[in-house]
Amino acid sequence: MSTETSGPALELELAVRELSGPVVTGNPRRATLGWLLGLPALLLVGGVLAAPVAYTVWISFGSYGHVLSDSDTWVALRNSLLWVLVAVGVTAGGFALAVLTRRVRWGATVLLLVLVAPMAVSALVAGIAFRQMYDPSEHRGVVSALVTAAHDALKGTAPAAGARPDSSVNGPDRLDWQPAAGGLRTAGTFQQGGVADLRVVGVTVTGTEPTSPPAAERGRISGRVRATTGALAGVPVSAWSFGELKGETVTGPGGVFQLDVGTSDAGYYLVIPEDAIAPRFTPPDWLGPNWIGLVLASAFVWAWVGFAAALFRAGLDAVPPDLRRVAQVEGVGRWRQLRTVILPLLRPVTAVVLLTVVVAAVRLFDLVLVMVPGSIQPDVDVVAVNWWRERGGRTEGESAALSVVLFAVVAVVALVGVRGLRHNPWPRRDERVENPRPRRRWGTAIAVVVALLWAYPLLSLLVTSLRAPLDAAVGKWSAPSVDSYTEVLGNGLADAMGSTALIAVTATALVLLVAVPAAHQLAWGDVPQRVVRVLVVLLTLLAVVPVQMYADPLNAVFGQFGLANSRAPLILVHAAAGVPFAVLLLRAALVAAPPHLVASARPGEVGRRAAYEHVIRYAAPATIAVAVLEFVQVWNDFVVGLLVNGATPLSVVLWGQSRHFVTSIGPVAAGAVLSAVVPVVLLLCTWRYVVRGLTGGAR
Amino acid sequence: MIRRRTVLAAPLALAVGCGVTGPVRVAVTWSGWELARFRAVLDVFETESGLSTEVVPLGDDISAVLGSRRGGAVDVVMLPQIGAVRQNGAQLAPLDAFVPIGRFPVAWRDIVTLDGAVRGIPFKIANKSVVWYRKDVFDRFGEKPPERWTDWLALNARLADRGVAPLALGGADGWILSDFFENVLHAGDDQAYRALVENPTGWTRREVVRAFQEVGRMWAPPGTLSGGADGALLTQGDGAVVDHFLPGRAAMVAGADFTYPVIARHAEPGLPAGWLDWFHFPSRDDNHHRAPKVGADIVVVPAPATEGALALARWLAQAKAQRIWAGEGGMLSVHVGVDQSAYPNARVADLAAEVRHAEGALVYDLADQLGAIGDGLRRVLQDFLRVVGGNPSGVDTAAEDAAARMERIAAGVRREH
Repeated sequence: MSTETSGPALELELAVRELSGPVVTGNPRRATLGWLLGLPALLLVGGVLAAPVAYTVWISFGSYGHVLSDSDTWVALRNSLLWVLVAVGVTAGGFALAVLTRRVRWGATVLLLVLVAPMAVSALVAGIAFRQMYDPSEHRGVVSALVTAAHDALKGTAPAAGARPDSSVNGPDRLDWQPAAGGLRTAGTFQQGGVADLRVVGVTVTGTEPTSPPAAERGRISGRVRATTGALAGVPVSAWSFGELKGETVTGPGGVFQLDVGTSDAGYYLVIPEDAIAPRFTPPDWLGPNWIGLVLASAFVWAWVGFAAALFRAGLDAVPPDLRRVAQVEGVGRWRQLRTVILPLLRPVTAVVLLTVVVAAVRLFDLVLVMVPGSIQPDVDVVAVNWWRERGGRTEGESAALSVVLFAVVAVVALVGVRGLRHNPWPRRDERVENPRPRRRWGTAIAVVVALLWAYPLLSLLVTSLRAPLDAAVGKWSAPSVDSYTEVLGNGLADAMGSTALIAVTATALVLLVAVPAAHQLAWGDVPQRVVRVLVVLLTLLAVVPVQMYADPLNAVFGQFGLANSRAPLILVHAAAGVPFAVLLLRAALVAAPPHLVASARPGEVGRRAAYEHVIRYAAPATIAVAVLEFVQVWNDFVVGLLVNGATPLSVVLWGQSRHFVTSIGPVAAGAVLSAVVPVVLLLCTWRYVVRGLTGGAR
Repeated sequence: MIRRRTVLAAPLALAVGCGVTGPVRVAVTWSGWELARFRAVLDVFETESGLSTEVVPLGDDISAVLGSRRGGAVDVVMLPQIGAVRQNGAQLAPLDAFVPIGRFPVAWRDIVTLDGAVRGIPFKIANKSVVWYRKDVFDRFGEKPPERWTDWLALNARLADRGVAPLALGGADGWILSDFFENVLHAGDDQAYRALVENPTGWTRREVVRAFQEVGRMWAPPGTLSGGADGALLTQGDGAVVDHFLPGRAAMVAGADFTYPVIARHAEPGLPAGWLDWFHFPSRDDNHHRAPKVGADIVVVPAPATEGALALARWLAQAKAQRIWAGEGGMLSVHVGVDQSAYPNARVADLAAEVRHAEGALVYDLADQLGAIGDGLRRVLQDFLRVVGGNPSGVDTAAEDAAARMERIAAGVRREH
């Protein structure tokens, strides 16, 4: 029963109430506990994040000149900004894929799951999968194998690959490289009835003994083609006179050929064409300076487009069908509909997607470290990698200044995204409406292709991991075996997995313990609106602050306390880094609760316990989303494990294994599969809650 | 009183629960197979001493462990750069008790002594002036290993004419190219080599330019590098062995003693006995046999040393420990107690003998000692390979350009410090 007294008029309203419980007598309790609820969060985030960040900013003063005048920094900054463009491309691609999933006859769910799975996988595993796919050797890298097969199918294999003229020959038999003739041409001419002995070097021929030279015949030029070790069969030879082709043939077994040239007295040059001696085809160096940027971008797109697609799909589903119908009736064209009706409604989803993907692109670290060979890292440098690689040659202030620059770029993006979210609340979806959408056959075809492409990297990793280590190194196909798994588990991965699981579970529990009360206080605790706004901005900034900003001061402090060898630093850092995002997400879910529920939960009317139980049930999807995302993030983390001194987590051990990439590809793939299984299964089981939690569709 | 003590002890108990007084942490650069070998050594240590160990694979970042900003993260470090031992000597605990006089050769004991105290224990030694070759291919063509540089160039030309690429080069790994270049420089003029260590800005001297030219003369002729220069630039060190040397596409691979286990593990079982052998990197002008270039992983303990760290260091200084890995190949030991029988075969044992009996001062990696200039050298050599591959006439110009670039890099690094 709610009453309202506002002056002379008295309004009584009987409202249906969702809550019921014993009425509590007495005065309404004031919310004195409010600030206490937010205290743990304040302490954790303030001590572990905010204080070191402030210290880093403080010691960075005075070093900006040096850092900004270094040309390497500007190269790194330029590359980071290029990555922002890639992130925008990912967002657009995600939107297109979301539209595609609505056009698919069946299997849309499967397609979305396949697209979302890469998000559960750590950047390290993605890097390993793509580096294996793009291995320059055609035995190990599928892309190189395809390119080589295509080249050989189109051009064929040369019968005398790698042949060079034998420079020890003198006289008319000597071959010279003549581009004008299109290959190797004899130094002198031959007439009909002549015999030629053409010698090349640089080709190994086994098994064919050079036969004796053929006899001279009238009307023909005879001869043979041989290498140092034997005769060359199957080599095309042609006769030319005054730029005109007279006859051509191919050498038979024993390297013997005979050209019909007629009975005139003309002299003929003999030519071996260029493509008969072309050296063995080498596929392009995918991991070299020309292509590595593209390969890195493809790995990033693979990992993130599913996230964008899933969120856009949820946003598209929430568009009220009435709007579309009205627009259709009004005669608004499809493109214009998209532009003026749908995209504005999707603005909050776009903001979240862009924010997340751009921040991930600017803070790129693990992918570059595992995929790019050390010698070309300076060419594809991004700020985060530059900070880490050049740490030894910089003073503390200069490293701090560079990390502040990185933070500034990320902060700008985050603030823009938050502004975009502020004015447009989430589209709330109270019922799921099945609007009849046109489903096309070509939609299914494209979807199948996309699903196969997206599933391929992880599948190829699985296949490689099931080979014995020695076979995987040379690319030999063999019966499946678990030798790679036993080798990698025995080489420290088992311990690291246990350690990482412990760290992840503890950090997730800590985050939930700290963030839920704080979010509750922020949402319903009568905090003044201005304070809330400031806190939201602060929390957004703390949610995106790069690890490089606070790792070094924290290491010094942890070292002082003697905690440097343990898991405690990692647990604390992960928890502190996860709390801001968790508070923001949970607060958004709680704020979206219907007002009458909030009113009933206020102290004084119903027992607090009943109210809380109802609230928890209401905000459950967001809480599950927070728990799952935090666990996956800690399990997959690499940056914190590398930069913060503590127990060695899974990803750092796996990275160490991938140093000898070629010979350890089997165990490395096995390690990657083991590392990927847990978060993929977890995320795929709970992804509906995660999407709901992220798009505010709490119920 | 009791209550205060328990209050003070509580955080410590919590810390212990989180694993503070935990295992002995060892930082290494190794991974994969080499790490497995080291773990085998540590397993025996764990059984004998009862302490537990944890390996921290740090890759190339290992020198940062000794930096002042990393506060006590590991107990023992297996440091791969000998120069780093001397640079950071003050931060390393003295280990004199474990390195008594006579256990290691005098030259090795001197190199790890700083300020009158021994700061490290030589553990995994590498002989880096080794060229492995396929004896079966050589026998087929009636060739013998070259004694001089000019012999080697002529041998390469003959092999290339017969269609077998002489050299498998892992150009994607810059350190393989820099090892090759340093061997050529040292074989030509070891005075110039030492002068570069002391004065890193002498790159345009005649001897250094000549070293670049000779390297170019070896790499440039078409058909010399398996896969061509383009193929070599794609291939990593292990790939050169597995994709080129073992399938018989290349007859030689320049490497070190630690290339042996890679060859042995991936070799086809059907190869004839005695198919593999090595020859010492040929000297340039005279027949004088130069000392091999060596690398070493030194056991160091950052001060203050913990009990566990000292126990592990004591263990690793014993012949028993060094024999565990040496027996599998890939590691040489200079401990006097490790004799020829500890190695997998006689030829590998000869490599160890070469290192142990090297007279005069030891010759180390140039690039490792030069730090950032060494990284520059690796990049310059990769570009040099790209330019000269298949282009013998451009070798002289490319060599001068490379030397000039190194001079600029050295001057730039010098200026910053």
